[in-house]
Amino acid sequence: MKKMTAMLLTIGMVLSLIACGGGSGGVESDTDKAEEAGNAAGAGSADDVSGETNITFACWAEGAEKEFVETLIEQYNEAHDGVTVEAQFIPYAEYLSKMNILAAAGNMPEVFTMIEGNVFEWGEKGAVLDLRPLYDALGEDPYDTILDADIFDDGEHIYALGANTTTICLYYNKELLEAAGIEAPSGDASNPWSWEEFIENAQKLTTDTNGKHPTEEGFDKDNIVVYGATAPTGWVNLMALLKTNGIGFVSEDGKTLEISSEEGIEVIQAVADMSQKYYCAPTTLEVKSSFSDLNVMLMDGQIAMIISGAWSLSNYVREGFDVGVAQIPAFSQPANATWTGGICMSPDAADNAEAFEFFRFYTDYANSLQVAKENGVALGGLPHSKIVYDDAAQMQDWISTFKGIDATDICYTLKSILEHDGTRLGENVTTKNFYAIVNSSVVSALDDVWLGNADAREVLESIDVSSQLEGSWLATE
Amino acid sequence: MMNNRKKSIKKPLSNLERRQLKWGYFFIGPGIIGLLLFNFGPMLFSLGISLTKWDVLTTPEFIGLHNYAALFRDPLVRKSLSVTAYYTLLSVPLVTLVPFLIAMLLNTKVKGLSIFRTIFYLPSIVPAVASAAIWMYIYNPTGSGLLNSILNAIGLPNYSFLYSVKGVIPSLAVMAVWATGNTVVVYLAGLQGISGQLYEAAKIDGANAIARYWHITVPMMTPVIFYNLVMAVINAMQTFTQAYIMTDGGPVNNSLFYSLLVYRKAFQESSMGYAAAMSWVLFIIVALLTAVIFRFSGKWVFYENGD
Repeated sequence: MKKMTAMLLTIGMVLSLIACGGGSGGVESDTDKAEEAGNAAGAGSADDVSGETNITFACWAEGAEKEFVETLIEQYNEAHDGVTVEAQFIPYAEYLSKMNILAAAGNMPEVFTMIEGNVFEWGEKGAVLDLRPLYDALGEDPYDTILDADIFDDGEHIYALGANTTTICLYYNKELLEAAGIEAPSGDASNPWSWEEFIENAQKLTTDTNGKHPTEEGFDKDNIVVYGATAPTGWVNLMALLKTNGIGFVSEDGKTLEISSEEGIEVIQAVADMSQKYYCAPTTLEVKSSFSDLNVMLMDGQIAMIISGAWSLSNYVREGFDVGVAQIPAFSQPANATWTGGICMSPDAADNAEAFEFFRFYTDYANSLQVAKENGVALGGLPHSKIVYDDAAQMQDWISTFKGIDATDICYTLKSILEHDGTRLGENVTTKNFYAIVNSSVVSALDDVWLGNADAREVLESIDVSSQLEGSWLATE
Repeated sequence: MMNNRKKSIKKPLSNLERRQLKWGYFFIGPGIIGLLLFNFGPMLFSLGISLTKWDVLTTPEFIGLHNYAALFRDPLVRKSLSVTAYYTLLSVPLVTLVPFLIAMLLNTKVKGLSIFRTIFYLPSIVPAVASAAIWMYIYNPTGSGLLNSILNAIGLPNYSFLYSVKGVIPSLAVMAVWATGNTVVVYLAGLQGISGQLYEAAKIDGANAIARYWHITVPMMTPVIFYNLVMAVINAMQTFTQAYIMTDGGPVNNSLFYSLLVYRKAFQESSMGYAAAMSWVLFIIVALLTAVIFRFSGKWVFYENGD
């Protein structure tokens, strides 16, 4: 009897030890990361024995976008018996690490979105499926229906299609502009405000507790009630602004650093000056430590203008807020950037017909449009289908998906931006090693400029990324 | 000593001893298996990866010691080492000595002692992410932050704390003291293990409170202080969570802790081999530091029963 109990106890201990591993007071993060990996592995797809196919779809959508994706998938599941698509939402900040873990564990979802800058990299390494053969077998050509900028094609393989086109735009609070007597910026992408005009207007819109503007005597910069604008210090916004000065972070062939040129210094210094010299924007400290959403602040009338991505649009639409949208102010020429997150398939799903069918469903604009119209949810991004921009009736359909506001001006402005010659494919897609270059070196160095500790010139001229420049993904044009 | 002599005579084990030995191995077996499978195994694997170039998606490519050579030249690695060293230098004394003082306070006979002990212990069980959120509020660089509102009230300007190039590491070091509940408990146990007779004898000899503290309490506690010192150094060198959540290595890489850089290299830049090499370098550094501390421990650590 005693031996029996001893045996059972031992087996119990062995099992619990194996379950918990041998971690002994190591850093907390180790166990956290291990847990995450365990969860990720568990959440990967699992084909049911009962003949029902399960497809996992991973993406980083949140807020209004997330609602849209969930509705889309629900509709697909209802219409397709025997196939269940399960959505996995992973926060954007951890998206790449989580995907890496899933890839390592051999548990890739069948269909997933991929950060635009990593699509080509993963394609080259064989971590995403080449879709060209699949389309060829069907006799279809994605170029017929989808915007060129939204097809991840390196000349030979198609690694992803986009479904959430996006670009950068200038959002503005119409009431505040009217009250200050400022004429709204035009919806024509070839006729934006110049940067000087933008700053002038931002100053006119900035008021302190006494109602004074930065250009007036007695302006109290420590007690500002309404800010004219926000300083677009994020790399996405900078990427588009640099284009308006004829350059990028990196040259088009990906071989030289361009942000440290005179034009680049001009742009960076101008953005820093917004809060440090012209007092028309909050400082980075104020923005980083504020718990308020910038979009909410615009809607509340605390900020008059924001330069941000088209993805923020749904935040305004959801609240029924009639936000103004315009082309971004230009330094020397009207320009912008466009790109899309890629929708890819896992190489393991090469023979999975149901997965490919869901892929085509998800990337077919008509389905997104239908879901948006029927369920009153805003579209995740801008339409990626050529037909929308060419056909007035289709434009009207798109406009009607925005419930609660008249989105005619907004849609035509965005159409104008997307079709404009100066709107180029974003470097985050084309330049190799973009994130290592921008995030590790440029962005952290720029902290000093935004904090007011150093000049743009000093900082930019001392950046050395020569070891990280690897060229461009696209075959030389 | 008698024991040594006994060991050198090899006597065959009796049946009873053999059986007990068997049960002994049987019971420590799971622990050993766990250690081998989940600790040593992965460590060897990591050593193996550190000799390769691997991005998880493709097969590893053997490149010998190239990763190690590259990381000695990498300015980011050097920066992260200096950041981590600076943090260790600031936080270890705080995290080793402040809990000692707190434990002394908690060892006195005051009313509501157990409540005080609970209060001082609670912060250490708050999850890292929650405590990060709390401290971000305390350290908020605008006037609405807790510390800044206190500074403003006494007429001082705002301080950027975590967003300040010079102030980020000191801010994090001070934050570390908040979560030292465990260390306080260990010290408390040590304090209570000091025999009361020593104090009585000293009092009879006319020693005042300060003399009793310096000549009895502190020397008797040196083993515990030593233990906490070693643990503090090992943990400080591996700091990750605070940097990851609160500052993301900023501003201008001034809180780019070594572990954070390893994480970035591994999971954002997919350079697994490089990250593994970095981890092994950290291991060697921490091992050397620990060895140095042990080596010099004889000079100041006093063990009651001899070494």
